[in-house]
Amino acid sequence: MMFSLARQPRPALIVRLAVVCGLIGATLLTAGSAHAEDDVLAGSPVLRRNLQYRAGRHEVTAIVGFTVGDPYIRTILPGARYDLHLFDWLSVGGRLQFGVPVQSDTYAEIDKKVTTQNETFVMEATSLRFLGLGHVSVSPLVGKMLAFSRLPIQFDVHVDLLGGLASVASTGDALTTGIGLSLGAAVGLRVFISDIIAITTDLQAISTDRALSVNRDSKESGKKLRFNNILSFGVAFFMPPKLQRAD
Amino acid sequence: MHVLQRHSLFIVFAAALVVAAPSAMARAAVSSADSSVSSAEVANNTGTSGGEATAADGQASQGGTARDATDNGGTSERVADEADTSRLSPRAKRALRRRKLTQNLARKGEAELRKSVRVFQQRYLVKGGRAELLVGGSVAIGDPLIQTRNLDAGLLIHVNQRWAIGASAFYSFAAQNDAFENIQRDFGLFPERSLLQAGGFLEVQFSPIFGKFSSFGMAVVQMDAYLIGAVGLMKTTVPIEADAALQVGRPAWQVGVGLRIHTLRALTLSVEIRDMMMVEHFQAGERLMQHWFGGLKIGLWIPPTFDYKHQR
Repeated sequence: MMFSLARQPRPALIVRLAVVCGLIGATLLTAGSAHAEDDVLAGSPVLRRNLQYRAGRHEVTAIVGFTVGDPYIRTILPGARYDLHLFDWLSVGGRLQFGVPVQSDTYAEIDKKVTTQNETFVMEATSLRFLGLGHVSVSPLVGKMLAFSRLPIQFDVHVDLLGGLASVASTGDALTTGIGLSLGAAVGLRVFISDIIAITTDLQAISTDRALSVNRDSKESGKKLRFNNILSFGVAFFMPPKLQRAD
Repeated sequence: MHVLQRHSLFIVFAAALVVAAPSAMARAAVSSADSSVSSAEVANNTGTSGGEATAADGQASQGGTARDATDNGGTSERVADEADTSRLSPRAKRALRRRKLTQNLARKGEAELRKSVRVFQQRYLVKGGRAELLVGGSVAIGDPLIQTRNLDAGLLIHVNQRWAIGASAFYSFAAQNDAFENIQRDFGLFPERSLLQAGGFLEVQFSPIFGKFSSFGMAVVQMDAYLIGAVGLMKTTVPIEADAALQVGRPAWQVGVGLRIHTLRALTLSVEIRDMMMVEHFQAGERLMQHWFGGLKIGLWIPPTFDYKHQR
């Protein structure tokens, strides 16, 4: 009984992400020495007159998320996200996502095997039903790439701080459900395929207070604050279409 | 009369000679000046000290005094040129002056251009023909019941800018997590465990994407994104008595993506996601196992430095 694709929630995810961001930050700090040369550009700004793909624009994103780590019920979370980009590096906004539960193989296997020992047993598990979260997003890394030597691509890596409401649903009546406060963080990548369209992917960790499942006596077991990891993909549309240029 | 005619012809011929001589000398002086300028230009282009002499020459002509020419390293030859120039007709002098002014402006423009334009090499980083020694760690992000942390090492030979071949290996530290224990405690079920122990792979990397990024304008960092494909062996805790060969390790393969950040010219920082796959032999039967790992590696280039074919 091994299940390779389901994943376990890990509260330390944010810590790991922080470590990775710290390493990249240290990289940026040390990278300056690799470029330091005594020439006419010494002391001049690293970036000038660059196109700003986010500053002063509205972003609406159609997203679909997948929970990562729910052992019993995986949740597909279609929804939408909005960002108002105050600066090229800072935005505020929110997201709404609705959960569609999908039972995992583990759920079915437990339901089948425990029922053979206890005929009154009915497997129940919780899942995310609804997410309504506001966020502040910072884009600390902004760059451009060239794919296959011909396709220019702009991108950014952003970090979101999340807060709002999360609703928990259950497949039965024995588990506590309802709406609760949810906090979290996310890290994401936004790849611009044109001036107004971008492909996005985000990994977010949000907190909910819930039990994962009942035990073999059909009683709620292990209710506590858990981090739910969600991997999201989306298509973003930016308005107005005209880009600003930095000084 | 005949004698008078002879004398008059001689006088006319002599007068014509006197009138024609200065203009012929002027033409000779102009052609001499042209040849000296063209030879100086050649010297300037080859970067020899002749280029400096040309610049001094230009300043002298612009200033228009012999003192300037001497101050700038001028010689008696240059003073002689000034004297030759004084014998030119006004029209030839104006033409010569225009030509020299044009040449001076061109030289000044080139000098300004050299000051203001910095030539970048087409490639910031040369990967081809170099090796990359990698060490790092990764954590499993796909297994709900087992928590696995790997210690990774590898050696890549970058065949060219896009392709690399090499070998990688990992040693695992795996243990069952809370979810696994919950299943045992809450449901009285005891799942069969398959803990990763170690593995080794031969791998190929392809880098289709190169780029750079900045953070708040602090610095520009180069990077490249790559795809990973590998085949090898993985060893787990599940014993297989039937086939001794499988005790060494089960055949495994992996695919993945990575982002290599070029920090210093000798060091890289790579972020990778790999999906390691193998067929595990459980008591209930064979099952395809997918182990997703997210990892971070530090790479050391061998040799640590490189030279461009054409240095700037």
